[in-house]
Amino acid sequence: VEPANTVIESEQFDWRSADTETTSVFTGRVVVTATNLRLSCDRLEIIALRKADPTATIGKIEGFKSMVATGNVRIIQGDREAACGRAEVLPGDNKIILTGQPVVVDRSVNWTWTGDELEMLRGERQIRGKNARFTGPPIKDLGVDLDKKLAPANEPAPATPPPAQP
Amino acid sequence: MPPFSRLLLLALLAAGALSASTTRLATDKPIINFRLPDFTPEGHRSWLVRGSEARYAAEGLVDLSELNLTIFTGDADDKVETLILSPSARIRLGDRLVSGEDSIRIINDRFEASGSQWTYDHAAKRVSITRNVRVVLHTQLKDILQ
Repeated sequence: VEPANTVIESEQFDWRSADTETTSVFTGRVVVTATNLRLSCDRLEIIALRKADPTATIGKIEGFKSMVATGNVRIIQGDREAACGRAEVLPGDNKIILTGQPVVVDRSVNWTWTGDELEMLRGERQIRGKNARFTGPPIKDLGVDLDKKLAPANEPAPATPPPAQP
Repeated sequence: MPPFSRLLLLALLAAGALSASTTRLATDKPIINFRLPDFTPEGHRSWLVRGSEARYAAEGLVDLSELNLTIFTGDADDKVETLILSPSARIRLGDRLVSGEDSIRIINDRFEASGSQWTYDHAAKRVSITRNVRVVLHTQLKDILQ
């Protein structure tokens, strides 16, 4: 997938600079589009690391330290989709924590996860959770059906070989 | 020095001081190609405000056309950190607050932001945009759900 810039649109935007990091808060119909990703929510707070120069007003952002989306959070990335009340993306820890009645759907295998909290490990396609519930596609009945009539055998049963002579 | 000239000198000095304190700027005339730098306590350039035209709006308030605000790293490197562009802006010189109703563009090597109805507070290191916000971060956000 062609890497794309991260574009964030919203009604309000507030950016503050501290010595080692900058905090930006987007509020009001927030939409983030990035590489193969779309995230929408009511409020988004991004804490980005700055280079060591504290005097620069809006410094160099080294990378995301954290990104917290709250309020009607919807995330769509490739074949996976998540909906929840709060999503905390922690790039440094390579994980995302979903709370607030999270639901994750993987359309490639038609699986759904729900729980009190779901923790997704980035790049490993692994999901852990508290009180997690996993729903997959129906599995064929693996039990023995006793009522089923056996079909008549067309050929005689194979003769048993004579016992070997000593 | 003869007493008279000393007296004259004192009179001139007093007159000069008097006129300086009573001089009123002609505030209805615009300043063309307005430039106003600001420096850190250590003497490094902090910002440079430029505008094609500046008008004195009130005590400590200047209205600018075609604002070009350059924010420097504020250290010996004297590098440009960020540019803020807007067709019109008002500057509150006392607390270095710049604001505008018009569109704004904030350009930095890591992001570009645009919108309208905005304020920039240099002392608090804070930017606020309250309408039509669009921020492009030149940072990848990958594999959130994968």
